Amino acid sequence: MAYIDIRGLSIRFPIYGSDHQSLKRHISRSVGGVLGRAGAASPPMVTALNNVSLRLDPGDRLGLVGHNGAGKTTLLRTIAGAYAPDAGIVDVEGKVATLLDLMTGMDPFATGLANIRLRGLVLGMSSKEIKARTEEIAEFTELGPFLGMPVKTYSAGMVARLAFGITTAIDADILLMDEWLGVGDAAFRQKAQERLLRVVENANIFILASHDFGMLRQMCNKFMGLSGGRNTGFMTLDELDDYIASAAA
Amino acid sequence: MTRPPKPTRPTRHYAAARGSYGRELSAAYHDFAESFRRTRLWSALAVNDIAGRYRGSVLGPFWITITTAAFVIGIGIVYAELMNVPPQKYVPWMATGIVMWNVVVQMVTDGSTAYLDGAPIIQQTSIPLPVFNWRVVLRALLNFAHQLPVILGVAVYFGYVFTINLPMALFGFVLMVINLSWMGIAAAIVSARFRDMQQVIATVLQLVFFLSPVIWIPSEMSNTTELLKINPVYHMLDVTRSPLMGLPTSADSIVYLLIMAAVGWIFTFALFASVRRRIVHYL
Repeated sequence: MAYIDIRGLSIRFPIYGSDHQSLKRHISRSVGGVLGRAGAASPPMVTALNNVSLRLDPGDRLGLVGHNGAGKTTLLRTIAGAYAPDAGIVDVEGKVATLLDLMTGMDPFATGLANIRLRGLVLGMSSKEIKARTEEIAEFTELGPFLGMPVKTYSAGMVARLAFGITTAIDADILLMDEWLGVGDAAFRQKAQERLLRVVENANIFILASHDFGMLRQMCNKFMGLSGGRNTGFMTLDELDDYIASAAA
Repeated sequence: MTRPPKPTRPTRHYAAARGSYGRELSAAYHDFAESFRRTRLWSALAVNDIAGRYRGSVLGPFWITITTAAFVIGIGIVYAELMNVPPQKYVPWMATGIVMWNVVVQMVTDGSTAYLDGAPIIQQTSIPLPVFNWRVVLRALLNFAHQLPVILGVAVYFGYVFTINLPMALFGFVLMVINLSWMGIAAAIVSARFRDMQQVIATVLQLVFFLSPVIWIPSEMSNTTELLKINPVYHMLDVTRSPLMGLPTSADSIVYLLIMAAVGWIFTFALFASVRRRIVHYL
């Protein structure tokens, strides 16, 4: 059974800025002796997530809300397995599919079809699965002959169709999405939403980080606020309205 | 007394490092093991890299063959004269040297950008880091495969093709690649952390090119030959070039490379284990 269980998760980003990434600084620091090293040797830290706990089970469709920089994307990337926790534990059971960035695993110079294979492999599909699903993905994207053209010739909406089509073709137990439906025409949005609902209905876990409250309302049944990397609490649909009102005020 | 049921481990369990290096070592081992289950992924990335570079060109990756051949012919004509060595001795030496040197450069210099190039994927997925190193290794091997006709062509032209010791050449090549692999991984790690390293590595390699007998033949009388043997590339060239030219490989070179492979891999693995969590933050 799929689940996500996060306990006391903290993620800190060391900032290897322009003055920390250069070797010269590093060397000159290390020859500075004990005095200068203690504090100066470690890069400045940004706490992106601070003691976040979260449990999701099949059927949970979580909407993540919070300002820019609140930690939504970091949380999604951590669940996807990109960041290792600095504190706490993250347990993820089940196959994860992500749509965090439209171009991940895609080569703009390769054709749409080649990119279905590339992105499919990056997202963990097997060659067999990709072959079996390619036609279905092609059909969903409605890109037709454009699939034989390089992706760099696509409009943003066309890229979105392709990326979305590939991610939702994965037999995943957990689906993670970061603000994405800003592009694409009305017909595609409608179609995408229907497809997403179908995928989510299979007793899966779904997490969507978005600023689009209308979208969140339609897609999710649970909400969580993030602010400054902290979990500001879980909300029901009604409580979300209060949250929106307070955020607007 | 009944034992409580063993809790089942989730498919993926990420925990904070609690200062236990042993756990990081086992996680690093897991990264490498997992990377071999993603063979399809790194093969696809490597093939796409090569295809992408020559996309739209008529001859495609065979340009690799042509540029190498042009280089060999050009240097062959000029240098055989300059160094006063008969072409049938000089050209095979230089041609195999150049092709092997290209493998060195591609695995180490290209290796240094392995993680930087993979950044968008590394930052969003749980794909283990060695996948991006194997991508570079395979890319270099594919490049090498396109240069083989040059070695073969030279061997046929100068008529020593039947003296090639193929098993020995293969053994030497594998030994070289095993060594270059750890160098590439180490280069990828330090270049992700320190952006100057990419340039440092390229510069050092440029220097090593001139210090290695790639396009020149070391004189047997000179006592600098002993000094040359500190250079790992000298031995890499020896174990690959000698059998390809039908000459005996020195046991010293094999021993040197075996020891360097063991020491280098232990060092690189230890380095990888100690920074594997932070690499994503370097990018």
